[in-house]
Amino acid sequence: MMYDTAMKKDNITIKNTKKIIKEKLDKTPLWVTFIFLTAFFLLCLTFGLSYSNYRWNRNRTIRENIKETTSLLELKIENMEEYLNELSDFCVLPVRDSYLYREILKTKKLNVSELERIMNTLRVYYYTRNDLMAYNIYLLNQDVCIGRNYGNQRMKITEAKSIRSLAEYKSCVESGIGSAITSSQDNSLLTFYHTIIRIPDRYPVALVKIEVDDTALTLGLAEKNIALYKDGGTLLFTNANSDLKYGLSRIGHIPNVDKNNITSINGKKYLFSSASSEKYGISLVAYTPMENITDDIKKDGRFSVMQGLTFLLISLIITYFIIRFLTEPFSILISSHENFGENEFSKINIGRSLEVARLSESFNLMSERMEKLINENLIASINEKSAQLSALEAQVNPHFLYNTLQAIGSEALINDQDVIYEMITKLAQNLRYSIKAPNRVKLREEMIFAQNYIDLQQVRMGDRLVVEKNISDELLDVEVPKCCIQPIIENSIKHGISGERRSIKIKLSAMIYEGQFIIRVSDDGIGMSPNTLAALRASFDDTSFGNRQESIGLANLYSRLKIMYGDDAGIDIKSIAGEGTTVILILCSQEDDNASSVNC
Amino acid sequence: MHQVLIVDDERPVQIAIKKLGEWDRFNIDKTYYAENGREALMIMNEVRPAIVFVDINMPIMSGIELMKKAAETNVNCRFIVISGYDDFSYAQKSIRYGASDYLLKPVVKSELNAAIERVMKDLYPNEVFDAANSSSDFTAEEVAEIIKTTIENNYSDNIRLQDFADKYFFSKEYLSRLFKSINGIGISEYLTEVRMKRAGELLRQPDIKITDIAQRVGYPDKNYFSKAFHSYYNMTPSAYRKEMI
Repeated sequence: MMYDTAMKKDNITIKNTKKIIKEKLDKTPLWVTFIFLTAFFLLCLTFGLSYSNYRWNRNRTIRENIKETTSLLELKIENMEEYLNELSDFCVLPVRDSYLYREILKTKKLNVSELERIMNTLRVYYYTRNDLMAYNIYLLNQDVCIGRNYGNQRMKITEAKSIRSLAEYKSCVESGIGSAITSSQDNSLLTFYHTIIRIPDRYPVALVKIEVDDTALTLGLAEKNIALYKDGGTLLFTNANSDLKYGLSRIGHIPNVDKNNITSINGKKYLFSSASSEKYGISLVAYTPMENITDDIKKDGRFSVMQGLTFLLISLIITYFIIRFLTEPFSILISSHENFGENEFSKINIGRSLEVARLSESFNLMSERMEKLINENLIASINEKSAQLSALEAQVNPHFLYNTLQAIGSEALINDQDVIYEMITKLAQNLRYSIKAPNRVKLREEMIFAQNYIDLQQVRMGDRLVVEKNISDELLDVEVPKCCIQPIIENSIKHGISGERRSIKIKLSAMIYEGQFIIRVSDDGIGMSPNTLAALRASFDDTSFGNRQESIGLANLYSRLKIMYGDDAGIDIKSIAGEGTTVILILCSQEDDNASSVNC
Repeated sequence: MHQVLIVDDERPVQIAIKKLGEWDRFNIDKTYYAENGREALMIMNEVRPAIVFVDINMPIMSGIELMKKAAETNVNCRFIVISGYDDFSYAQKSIRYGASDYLLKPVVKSELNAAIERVMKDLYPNEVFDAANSSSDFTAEEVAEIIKTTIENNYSDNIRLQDFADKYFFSKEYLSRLFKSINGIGISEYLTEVRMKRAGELLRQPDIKITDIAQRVGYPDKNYFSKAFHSYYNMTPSAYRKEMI
């Protein structure tokens, strides 16, 4: 149950969200959404591309760097091998010297002068090389070391016992090549041990220990951080700067490297490339600070992002203009639709895209059709009414009509029937007014018309008809539509008297209320039931062109009011069955100081 | 005092204008009538009416033509046009040819008198035209009295009701009804009564011939007189004379 409720809640939330999105979208202009989405999309694309470019570039650069460095290292390690080979040769040089060799081979203890002689001979060796920092030869049979160390000016002869138990000695012996390498003090590259053996049985008789400087290694590697490691991990040498050096020495052995060949030393990242010499068990490692690589890559990356953003901006601006250009006709289309039918059916001429051109065409077509329809209907209706009117007028030739009325009237006059003559003149005046009066008349004229009608009715009805008028003189100049009062009075008489009711009292008043001109006709007739009232009110909005005769009077007046004065005008009807009916005409607002002008 | 001329070939219009106008008020004491423009011009030359009421539509000479002609002969009077047409072009034309006003048929009393007032005030600015009493014509009762008096005084004349009707603009049926209701006797009966009474008086004077008596009481024909006398007295005139003497 709770799950269902939760689901329902989610569904409702989703629905709400969709609704909100739709509402927001509906309020946003097309170009805004388009530009925004395009910008967003292009931005993501730009960043995405830049980032992937960056990573790819980075990886490639790293790979290339590694490759390049590794090649270099491999070359260098080859060099180192050759160098070490050459060092080996150097170490066993005494073998070439038959005197030295013999002396070395001697098991009997040599005296000082013999040792000094050896030393002097060896001294020559020392100076044959520029890269020697220390040269020592351990005469195993003599327990003596002759040599010169770094910092010392002269060669020395020192006692050296238990050389054979020296680890390095053992390494040399155990290695197939008779040499061993160990690390040495800071300045030198490495310490190279090589045994000198007795040829027949290969029994080591001397151990040469030399310390060489780093020239062999670092020549041509000036800018790279390299470190020389002995297999097993001991750091032999590094030309790195202090930070790295410190880090490397602290670690001591080859650091851990991740799968991207990146290692972290002392908080900094380095690219790791290496090459090894199997023969000598050494590895040459190059540490390329990631900074160097990534700096360039980052610069590239930044540049490409800037480039991307610039292009994005330019393309957005261009897109903006394009989209505005293309959607500009929409505003014309929109305003045409909004104003459609208001007075003219003007044609539009817009395009700039297939859809808009077609919309424009179909709008014009619709406009044409509508105009035609309305004209046909309207004109047909007007024609019909005009025809009716003409027929009416033609049937009753006014000349004949009015002359006959005059004759009837004069006959009444000579029979002393002045009242009849009055009736006839009023009838004639009203006939003329209905046909000839303009659409807008002064209230004064409409009141004459209404009063004539009332007088004629009063002759028929006597005191069964009472009319009270309450219209102040200054309102008589207000313009009203013709036949706006008389039909209402006619309706009051026609519909207000029925059955038991024989008489009717009608009150007629006019006033200006809240800026609008109001005419009020109220009677105490039989009134209308709510249904009849509702039906009557509904008939006002029936704008079909074929009104039935019964409601034509008020509905016609209503239409004329709306057409003449706009939406503010209207007819309000109140009625209570058995009590009476009040019809209120609301005409447009008048200017207070000049009642004869209509402020519409 | 002033005069007016009504030019209209239709009697109803003449009746209407004559009966509706408040002539007393405007110091107008005589109304002339013409059936067409030619008659009108003749009367205008003699009488010089202040106002001429003219209908547009008339035979022989239209109202417009009349106005034109009047202008040519420089007759100084004001025209008020009466017309059944409320066509603007007619009104325009009328005004162009000098009409002071244009009234529509049927003539409305208030409009007629307003038009007359305007014209009279314009013609005679120094005269006063607002007398309250505007009954200038004889009422029907007065006409009945006139008839009675005429019968009593002029019984020897050929008295015809139609003449009174025409003169005073009442229908003869109406006058006849009215006379009878006032006097209890019909006009022709009264006339006969007066005549017969006089005849009786004259018959008592034996030297007047019966033929003369017949003439003197208004019967030109002696035989007809005898018949009428016999109807009234149940005896012939000679028998009556014989009786009285």
